[in-house]
Amino acid sequence: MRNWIELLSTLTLKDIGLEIRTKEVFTTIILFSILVVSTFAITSNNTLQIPENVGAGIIWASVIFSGSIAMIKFFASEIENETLDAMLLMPVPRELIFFSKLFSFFIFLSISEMVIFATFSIFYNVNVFSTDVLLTAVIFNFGFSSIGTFFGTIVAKAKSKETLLALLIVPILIPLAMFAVEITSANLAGEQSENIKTWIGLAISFDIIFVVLLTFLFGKIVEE
Amino acid sequence: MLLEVSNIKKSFQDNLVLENLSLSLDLEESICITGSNGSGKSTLLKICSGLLHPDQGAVNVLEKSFLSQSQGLEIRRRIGVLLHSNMLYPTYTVRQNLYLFAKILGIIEYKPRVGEIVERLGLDDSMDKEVQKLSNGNKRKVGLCKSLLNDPDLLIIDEPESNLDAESLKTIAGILTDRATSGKGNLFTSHSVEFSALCSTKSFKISSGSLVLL
Amino acid sequence: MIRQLYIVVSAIVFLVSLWMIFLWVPTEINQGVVQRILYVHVPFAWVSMVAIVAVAVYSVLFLATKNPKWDNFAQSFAEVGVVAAIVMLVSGIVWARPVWGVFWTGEAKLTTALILFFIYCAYLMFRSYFPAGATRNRIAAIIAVIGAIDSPIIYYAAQIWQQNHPRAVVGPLSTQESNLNPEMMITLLMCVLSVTLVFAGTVWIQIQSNKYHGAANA
Repeated sequence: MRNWIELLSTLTLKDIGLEIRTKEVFTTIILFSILVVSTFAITSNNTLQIPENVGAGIIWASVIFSGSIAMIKFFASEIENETLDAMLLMPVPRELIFFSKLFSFFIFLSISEMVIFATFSIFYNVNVFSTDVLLTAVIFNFGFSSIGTFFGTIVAKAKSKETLLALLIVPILIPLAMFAVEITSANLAGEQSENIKTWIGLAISFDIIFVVLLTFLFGKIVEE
Repeated sequence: MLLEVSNIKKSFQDNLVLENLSLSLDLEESICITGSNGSGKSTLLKICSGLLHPDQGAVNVLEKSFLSQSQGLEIRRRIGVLLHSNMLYPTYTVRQNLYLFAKILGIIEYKPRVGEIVERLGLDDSMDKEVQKLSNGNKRKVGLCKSLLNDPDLLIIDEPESNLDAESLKTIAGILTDRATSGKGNLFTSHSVEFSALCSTKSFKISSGSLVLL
Repeated sequence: MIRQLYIVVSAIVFLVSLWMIFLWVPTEINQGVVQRILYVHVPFAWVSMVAIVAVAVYSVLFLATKNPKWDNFAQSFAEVGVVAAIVMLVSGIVWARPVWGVFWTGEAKLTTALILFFIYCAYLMFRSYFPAGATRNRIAAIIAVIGAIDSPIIYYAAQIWQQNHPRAVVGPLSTQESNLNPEMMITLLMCVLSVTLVFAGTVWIQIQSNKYHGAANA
């Protein structure tokens, strides 16, 4: 068990180290999301009067789509240099490869989201940073990272990766997206969602179901 | 027996690449596989290294099978693989790449081990250079270093001579010969008759998906 | 012989159901003529749901047995099912506007149907864009299974969402319940039978076509 934890941290730190050098994932998520959020702000008549659920939808839609594009970048180098194959040739359980990618992307996404929240707060003159929203972000990011890592691995060798990945990820993620928008829009309205416990329960269950399922299935998608 | 391949068959999109192919490799053997482009040499090596599974037939390495997750892990601890691609992180230095793979392989005293292999292949001066800035020949040598880190019982290499000068070829041939002499095994492909003659104990040619002893 | 008989029976049932929709069945009191769209919408909704279950079941069978026949069945059901889903969605939208006053609501069934349609599309797009072979078929089956597992979660989430954001329907007929008298029920069942027969026949043709294309590429 200690060996697995060491291995997991080695692999995760490897991805973080690579990202610190290239900064591809960060720049993709941050720039694309800022572009989306600011475009909505520029093209709306009055950002101070935008409905809360629309505002929440803008935030999470930009996270989902920029995250999908960033996921492609996350795997692009692995496929180009065949370093994913290098890991498959190493004495590393497939599950650990999956978890290391999941944790790495979770970290990148969480950090990038702080910038997205700050941008939204500036353009729409609200404070998005609250305990509820940050907890929502953690649960959402975990689910998104697991689904994104799984499908990102699948589409890495396909044509039209960006379109295909978005088409695969977005429908599956709808329950998490609904959860995130619901909690965020209630927060923007200065309230707490009526069914907050139900939503959190649903989202955590979603994360657990998919992490277990996708961990089990990961070995089957990387083997030929 | 280090490697036992029994009647394997492999197709890609209905294109039959390997058919009824069998091969055995024992301790102290160094086997060279030759064949024309597209004959299936690389496919055979990928199957022997566990990266691909055959459609039919069986592959046993160190008397274990890749079909079992736990046995697959044990096999991978004891083999070294260098395929057509060097499989290195281009933005990491040579040192960072080799230390990373050594840690993953579970080598405890990895720094001296890396130093020893790098010295033998003449890469001392390149240790702190990013892999993407190296010449193709040096990248290949780094790939070879990676495959030798755990002093594997079975070394699988696809065209070890590619991009290398005559001096480096002699060094690699020496490594393969020393390994065979000390009780290990090597399986490699080559287009070079001279290189094969230098360091193989047996040669086969892939023809119509099967092996023919030369 | 059986094939010809099937075609004849399907054609007869189809023509009879057309006659029933346009000439025989009385007009529904509350919704008026618009209600007749449901004789198209409901059968296509039924076959869409059958198709998605079939895709999931055959995908599981394929993963368990590795028999390419099951993968062919799953692919064929998806290809025909996605067309049925488009008819279901479009006919539903056309019906909803005059009855509910809106083209779309956040109702759980609608949301789930739309998301499942996207999952269908993703499954088929993946099959198109990934290099053909055993790996592609295996991964496509996994995608179908994941979609099937996610469906009840999507429905449950949509239901909670609907509780927080009640249906915004404002049409004059939005609060009226639909009354189905015996003739309407018979017409509806006849239409379901007709569409099911055509759907099954089309899936069968698609299975043979996919089998032929697989053999032709060998």
